[in-house]
Amino acid sequence: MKSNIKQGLFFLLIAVVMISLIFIIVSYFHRPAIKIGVMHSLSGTMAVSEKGVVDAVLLAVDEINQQGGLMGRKIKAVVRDGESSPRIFTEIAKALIEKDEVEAIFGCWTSSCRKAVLPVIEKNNHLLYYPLQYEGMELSKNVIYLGEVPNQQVLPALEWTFSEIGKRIYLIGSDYIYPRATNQVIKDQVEKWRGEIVGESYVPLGEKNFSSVVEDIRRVMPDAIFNTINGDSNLSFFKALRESNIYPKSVPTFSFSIAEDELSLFADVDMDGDFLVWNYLSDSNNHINQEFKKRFTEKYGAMSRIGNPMVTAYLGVHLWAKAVRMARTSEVEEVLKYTSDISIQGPGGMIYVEKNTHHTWKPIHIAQIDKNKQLRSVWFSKVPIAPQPFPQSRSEKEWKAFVDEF
Amino acid sequence: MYEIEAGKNQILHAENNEKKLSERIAIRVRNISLLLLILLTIMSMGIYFKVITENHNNAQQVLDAITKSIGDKTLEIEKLVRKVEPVVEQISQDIASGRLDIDKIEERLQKDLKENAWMYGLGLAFEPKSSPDSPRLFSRYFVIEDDNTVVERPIKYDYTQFEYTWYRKPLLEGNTWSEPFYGQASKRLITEFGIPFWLPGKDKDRDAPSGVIFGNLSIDKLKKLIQFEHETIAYYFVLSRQGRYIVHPDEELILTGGTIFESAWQAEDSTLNSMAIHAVAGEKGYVSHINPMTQEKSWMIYQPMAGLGWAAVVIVDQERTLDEDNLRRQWFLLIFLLTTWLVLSIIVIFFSFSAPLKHSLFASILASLIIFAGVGGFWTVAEYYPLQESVDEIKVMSGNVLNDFTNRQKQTANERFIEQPRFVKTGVYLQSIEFQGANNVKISGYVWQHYKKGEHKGVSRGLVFPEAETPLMQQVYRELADPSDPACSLKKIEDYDCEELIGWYVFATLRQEFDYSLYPLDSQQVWLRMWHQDFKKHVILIPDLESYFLPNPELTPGVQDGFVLPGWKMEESWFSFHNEKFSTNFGSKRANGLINKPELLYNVKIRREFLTPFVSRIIPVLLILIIMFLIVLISTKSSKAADWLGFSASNVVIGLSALFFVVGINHSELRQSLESSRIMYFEYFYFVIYVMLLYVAVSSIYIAKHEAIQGRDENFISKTLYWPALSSVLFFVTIWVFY
Repeated sequence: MKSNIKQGLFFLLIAVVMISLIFIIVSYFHRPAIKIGVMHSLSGTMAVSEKGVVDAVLLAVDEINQQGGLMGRKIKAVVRDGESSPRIFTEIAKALIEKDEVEAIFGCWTSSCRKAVLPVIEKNNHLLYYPLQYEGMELSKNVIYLGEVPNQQVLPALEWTFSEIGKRIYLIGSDYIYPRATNQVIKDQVEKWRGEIVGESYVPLGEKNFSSVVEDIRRVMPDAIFNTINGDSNLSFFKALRESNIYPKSVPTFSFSIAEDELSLFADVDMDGDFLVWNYLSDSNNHINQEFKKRFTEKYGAMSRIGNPMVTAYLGVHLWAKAVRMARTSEVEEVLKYTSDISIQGPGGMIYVEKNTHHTWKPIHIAQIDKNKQLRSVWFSKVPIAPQPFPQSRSEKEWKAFVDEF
Repeated sequence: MYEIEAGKNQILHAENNEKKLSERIAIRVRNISLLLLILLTIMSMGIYFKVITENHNNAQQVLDAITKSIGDKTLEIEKLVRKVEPVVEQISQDIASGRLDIDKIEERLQKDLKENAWMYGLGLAFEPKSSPDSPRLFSRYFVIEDDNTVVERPIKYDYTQFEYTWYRKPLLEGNTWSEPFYGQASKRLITEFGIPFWLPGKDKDRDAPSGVIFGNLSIDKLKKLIQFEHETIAYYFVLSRQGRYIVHPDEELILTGGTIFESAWQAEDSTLNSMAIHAVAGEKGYVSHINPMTQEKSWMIYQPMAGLGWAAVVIVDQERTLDEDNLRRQWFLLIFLLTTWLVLSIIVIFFSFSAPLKHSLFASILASLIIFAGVGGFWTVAEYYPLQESVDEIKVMSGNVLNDFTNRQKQTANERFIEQPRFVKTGVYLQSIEFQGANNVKISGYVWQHYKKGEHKGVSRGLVFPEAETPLMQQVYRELADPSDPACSLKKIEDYDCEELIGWYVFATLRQEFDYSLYPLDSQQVWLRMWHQDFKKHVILIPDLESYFLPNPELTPGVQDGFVLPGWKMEESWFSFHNEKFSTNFGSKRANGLINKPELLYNVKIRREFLTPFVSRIIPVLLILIIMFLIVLISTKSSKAADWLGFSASNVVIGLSALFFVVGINHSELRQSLESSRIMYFEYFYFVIYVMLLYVAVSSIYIAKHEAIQGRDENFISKTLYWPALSSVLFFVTIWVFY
């Protein structure tokens, strides 16, 4: 009798354990997906630049899901169109956080967008991965700034220009914070290095008429033009330059907001001899890049070019995934502790997110465009350049005051 | 019938009594085991935490010690480097003020260089067309050679090009230390301090500089100061502000301008990349690192060398921060506790069932397997943390230790009023090792020596290998520093005074005593003992460390890559000194420095591969033990069963004798092949077999002799305790030998 009871209890214990195990296994494989927000302009003046970035983010999501997701959960991207409007981006950010309950947001291109969205992100103690090069002069513990700041893009170009081309610089940009602030950095440095700013012009976003600007350039004939125009206005600008017989051989242009993938839009424009400055060049001969391009092509078909912002956005997703794995949770508050002081191997080199500033260290190419719109690196930093969100020409306080004033 | 019934009842009653007794015993054993289990669990937790804390403290102490020594060293170097700045600044000021005329710049540069001979070069370079009377570019650059002569090195390239940051950066940024670079004019790796200068009459605030004044240091000279010593250090390197290797065991990385970021990229090592960024950012700290290729764990300690924006990075083997002997003991203790815990658990579980003795055989086999697994665990630990024998030697694989040694030798010579020692740098490159018997080993490879002019005048060239039987030494190369030196062709040795490098191919059989007491988990140290040919003179051989790119013993410097030694694997190689005490002066009263003369040894540590002895020796032993167990199983008093099984005591004894014969020959062969003067660990396996052979023989005779008792398993104790007893003996013997 005693032994029967014992046996019964034993089998009961086994049954309980088995049922628990089955329950745990089923729960594990049917856990809800982790949602992330993707907000970029799929319409409007910025769409031409931002669509590729969305594709790159979705590729990263697919790759992570194919490897089993994060902690057994798939990632689901919630994609929203900001329509090139900072106001709409703000609304989208709120909705992604409050309604869709995403665990991280990947988005924005222009600084106007980022500035508009930042208060929402910070108020909710959320997380934004911002993939674009920008003017710097900002720090937020809720933002990972994946793109280059002026000392990583503009200043190496300026130094190279001073040595190889000349010291008379013309500045042209879209009229919003990024070009204005970046140009101020350039002006400070040109003064320090005893160069000369021979002209400075700003045009509204979406502008198509550059006749007066080009006339001004023609009048002063600088050694080089530093261009921070954003969006499809660039096409109009370069067409206007060529129509006025201003060619790279006499006045080369360094463009800081034209990504490599956008060069296909300039098919009818002679860009042979102009320059771009990026961390990533699509023809980089390393196996990481080759594999990345192969996967991109398999997903999206034959692409003419992959641009730097696409790669940084792609890496942003992987950086976030790495932080989630380290935190062992996707909850934003925990992940925030692991988003910085980490490195990741990317198609353009190793990228490191700095702890104190949330900006990235990365190497840089100065690349010249040839007649086939291919890029050739004329200078490569080889080593990662440390980001200086607040350029050393002024104090942090002075830069903040400059931005606030603007 | 009643009597038969009564008899049956009596037997049943006796059986019941016995059953109750054995159950009571089983319950008692179970209860005691349960109590021991609880005590063991509590004890294990305590020991575990103590061990973790101890290891962490040890590691922390080592890290702190190394961090401090790096800090001290970096201060030293920074002080030296900073001395360049005032020299260069003064020239710039003197030019600007007119105190120094550009026409006299040549004299000034040479004078300053002679007065600051610790520098390497000093010069100035003009901006295009800035110089008063020159073509487009004008520069003057002087360097100080090793013999303290100052010579001019013309700069024959366009230094205004973008790539020449030593010129461009000071013009843009002001006073700047350049990234170390391989100077085209200097023909060596240098680091340079440059400042812009203005000619008289120019305004610093308004006018562009007239050019750059620069002073530099040779990285080679700095390298000699940058030496970090600690037994746990695997290697170290120094990085420039941009992550370029300035000092690194692999010279190739330095010469090719390699950077740590390239290394991180190639190795896909994100931890290394992150650490590098911390280091070049001027931070200090340490990170735990696992090499993605070798999976080796290390600490990377980084510290800024603030004056130059450089960073020193020291790689510390994590295993080495812990005392290996201590670690081995901790692991042994852990395995012992775990094995005991598991065995007690089995007793508790199986003895909790009703009729516990029913499952006793199964339980005993399970317990034995666990104990054998414990033995396997001990073997693994013993392989990983081998027993270290203390050897009377001075291990020398770094410049500092070598310098200490040579200084001590000079001091000793002073104290004993004997001639100063003459040191001859000697290097070894081994290409093959082959064991010939237990105590003979054949080696081949290259040996070379450097002889200096003056210091080695009258010293004959060559060396001897005292332990070698008929060594073959063939000179294969000879490089003269100055082929035209007549002293190189003199025949009389007393006058011979040639600066040269001589290399020999060596082939020798060495007779050495090896210790096989830990066979098959032994490691052996093969050494090449070297004396100078003039062993009666006070000539001391020292290792030529500069000829080895990676002098870390674990990287086996001086051993050919792809070295093949069947049955063994290479572990370490290093140079050492051993003090040889001679009891004779070899008949010469002029035999100076013979007493306590240090001799140079080149050592190679090899570890036996476990697979071969496991297959050739342990498996047969195991099979023999299994066969004996089968004999125990089939031993029975029942005549029916005995017929069927073919069991008889005599058959058993005959079979066991055959087994003994086989084992005995195996044992004897092992002894003869290894010629060990001590009992080898593996021999204990044979001893156990001998005891078991005897026991099984006696047991089978006992069973055959006595009457069977119905219902009673006559061989119960032998069957149940055979494997546990065997495994326990091996368990404790292993602890005793390796602990």
